Amino acid sequence: MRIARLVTMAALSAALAATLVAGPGGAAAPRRTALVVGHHLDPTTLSAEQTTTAAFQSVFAHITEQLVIFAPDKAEVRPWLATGWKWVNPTTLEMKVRAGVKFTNGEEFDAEAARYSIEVLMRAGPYGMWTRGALNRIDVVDKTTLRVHLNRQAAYFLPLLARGGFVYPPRYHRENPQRYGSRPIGTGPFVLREWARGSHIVLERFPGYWGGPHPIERVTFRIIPEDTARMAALEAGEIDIALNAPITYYNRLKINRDLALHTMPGLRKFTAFFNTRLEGPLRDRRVRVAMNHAVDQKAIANRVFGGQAKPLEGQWFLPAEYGYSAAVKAYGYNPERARKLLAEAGVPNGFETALRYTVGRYPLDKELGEIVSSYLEAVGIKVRQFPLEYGEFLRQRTAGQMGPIHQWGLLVPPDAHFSFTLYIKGSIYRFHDYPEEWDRLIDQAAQELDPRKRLALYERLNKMAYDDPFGIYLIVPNDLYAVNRRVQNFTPRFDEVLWLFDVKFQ
Amino acid sequence: MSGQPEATETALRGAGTAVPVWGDRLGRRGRLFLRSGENRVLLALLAALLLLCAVPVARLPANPIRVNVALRFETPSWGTASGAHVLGTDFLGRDVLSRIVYAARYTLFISGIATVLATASGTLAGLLAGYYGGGTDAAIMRAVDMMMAFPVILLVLALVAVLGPSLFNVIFVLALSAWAAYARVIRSAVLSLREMDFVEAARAMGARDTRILWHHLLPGLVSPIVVISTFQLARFILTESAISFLGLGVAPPMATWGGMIGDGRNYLYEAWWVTAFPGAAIVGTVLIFNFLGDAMRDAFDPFTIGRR
Repeated sequence: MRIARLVTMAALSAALAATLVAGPGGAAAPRRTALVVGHHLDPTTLSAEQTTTAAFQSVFAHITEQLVIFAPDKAEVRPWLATGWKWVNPTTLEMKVRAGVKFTNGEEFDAEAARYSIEVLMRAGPYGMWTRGALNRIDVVDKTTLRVHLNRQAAYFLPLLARGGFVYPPRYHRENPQRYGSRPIGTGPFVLREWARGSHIVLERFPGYWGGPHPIERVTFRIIPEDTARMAALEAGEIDIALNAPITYYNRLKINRDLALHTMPGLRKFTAFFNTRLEGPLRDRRVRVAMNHAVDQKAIANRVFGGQAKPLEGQWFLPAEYGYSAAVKAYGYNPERARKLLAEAGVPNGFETALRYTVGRYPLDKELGEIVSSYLEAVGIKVRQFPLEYGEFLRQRTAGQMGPIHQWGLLVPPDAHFSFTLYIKGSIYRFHDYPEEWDRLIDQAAQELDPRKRLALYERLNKMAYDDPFGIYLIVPNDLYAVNRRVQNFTPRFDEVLWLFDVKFQ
Repeated sequence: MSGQPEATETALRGAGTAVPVWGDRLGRRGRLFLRSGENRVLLALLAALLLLCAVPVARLPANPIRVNVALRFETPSWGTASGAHVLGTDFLGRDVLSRIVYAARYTLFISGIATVLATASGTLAGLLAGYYGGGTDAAIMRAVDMMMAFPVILLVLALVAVLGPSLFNVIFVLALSAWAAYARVIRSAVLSLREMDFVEAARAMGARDTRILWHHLLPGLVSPIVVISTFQLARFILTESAISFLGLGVAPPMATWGGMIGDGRNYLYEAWWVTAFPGAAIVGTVLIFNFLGDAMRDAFDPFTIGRR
């Protein structure tokens, strides 16, 4: 009896010891092939044609592939499912597509599928302000060749494909127009396995991927909207990559040896947009220029963002962007000049206005709103602040209740076409109406194929936007990605899209 | 009409029964209250707190709302020679001490007015429900049940989100979230009070309902009202903190302690003082009110007074 008990004890201890020794290894082993991403927004759709939201693309980019893609850090267009292209004449683009590629449902990808997909993009609602009715027709020459005929020259056509030229399986997409957003099918290295709304999305490796099977078997996107909770999950090792890491966590995450931090010059342009359709002093050009002089963008970028942001100085472009004009100078922080301009405009003692801004949607958005208000108060402009939760902000925006000034960040591809067309007549982003010339120049630039001539046109637009600003041009924060060191080859992208194609485990 | 009940009350008092009557011996109870050194300290602290709220913005050590990004995260200078920012500056370069003083008025105003509103409405509802009973009671108490069924913070957040964050919406919502708790306690107190002899006597002498409610029942409710109010005020400070912490509180440039904590939480690692000092202010204030509530109940409750 005693011996039996001793044996049992010994066996139990051995088992316990074995568990203790194997424990950490045992727990980590299955994760070597399963990646967990902490995502800040639950997608409303996974259909590329229904959204331009980069955060959603971070999920579906691994399911639905593109014909061409942007380089990770510049406006250069690179081949992907389209292997090459040339302009046969200024309005005709001949494109070669990859042979031997299959959709994950077995449908074949060919020039016909590419034609179908480009047509979907060109009539997609969310892309409407960028596509601008350029497409005439597409001819399929052979299985791997197609010719795109445009109505007029469109310099932005390839960047547009790089932004939204996703490839859909024609049969499945045509037959399931409603279901596609929740059950997307593409040629990508992963297929959608499970989507629990508000909780998680699971992608599973597609073994027959044309580029060879991905080293990671499974990617889980966990939806954790709260920054603090997402960062805690990252620090606890529950997630491997945290999207949209708040820049305010930089110092705290930097000292964590398990984490690698990647910062990337972003393209989300924070701007306090004027609504000049309302009565009031904002209608006066000088008042709006004065407000640009009143805010110290450099100090905000360097002090508040700790250098992890770049100031937008006098124009809506950073020097690295196509569309930046060196000839357009910064306004410069100059409260004296601001006061003088206000006096010239007949409001020497300032006036009362209101500023709506988001809270908790973007890093430091509330702080930014308070800072801008304080700078304006310093030159005598009284600001009523409305810090709004993002959903409420969007609701008021859609309902046309944004009041005289609203502030948020817009993410645009790094080609001036995508920036300026936001402010073209009829756009929902336009709150300040420019003279006829503005729209004419934007259209003219869109059709100009010579990059230098096109840049000259954008310079004229930038000068107009300097003399007659549509907003207080603020800053562009860097994007921060925090990644567990187990994850290798992570490359951040300027467009905020998560790119897992090269990622593998150590 | 009014002479008769007074006479009865005097008679009853003569018989040595503690009868709750307004204005009677408040002075004596006040002296009793002040006899305790502890209570005098608490009152002095409360007075100091209220005085703090009255300090004009211009007289504060620094402008509490003016942003100066160059002064971001100055460390607290207490104990050092410079003394520029005793409690440091926040992420926008604003002096934390000045902001705490500036935020005190909003914090106390919001929780104070909300307490008054909640006390008034809750007490009235409880009085009516308890005194009249029947259909009135059923209607009021079912409304109370409905209110109590909602988790307070959820109700508050939902309402603020719908109404929009503004000073008066926050006050209104806080009061709305708390009246039911009063109503229930007051009702049960009234239920036992109304059966007591002095109420019976007043009724027998032909006193009207309003007179019985106001002169006979209400004074007897001082104890529960004072206790709930002080605790409620402390709780309002905390709830308001939670709302502000979640970004649904009053809009800048108005400031509250809870809002200061909410704004500073992202920087806990770099600048603990931005959250720690407003946190200490909340703790201190809540403690003052809780202790005061305790002491006031002991002193002013007509039913405990005889036992001392």
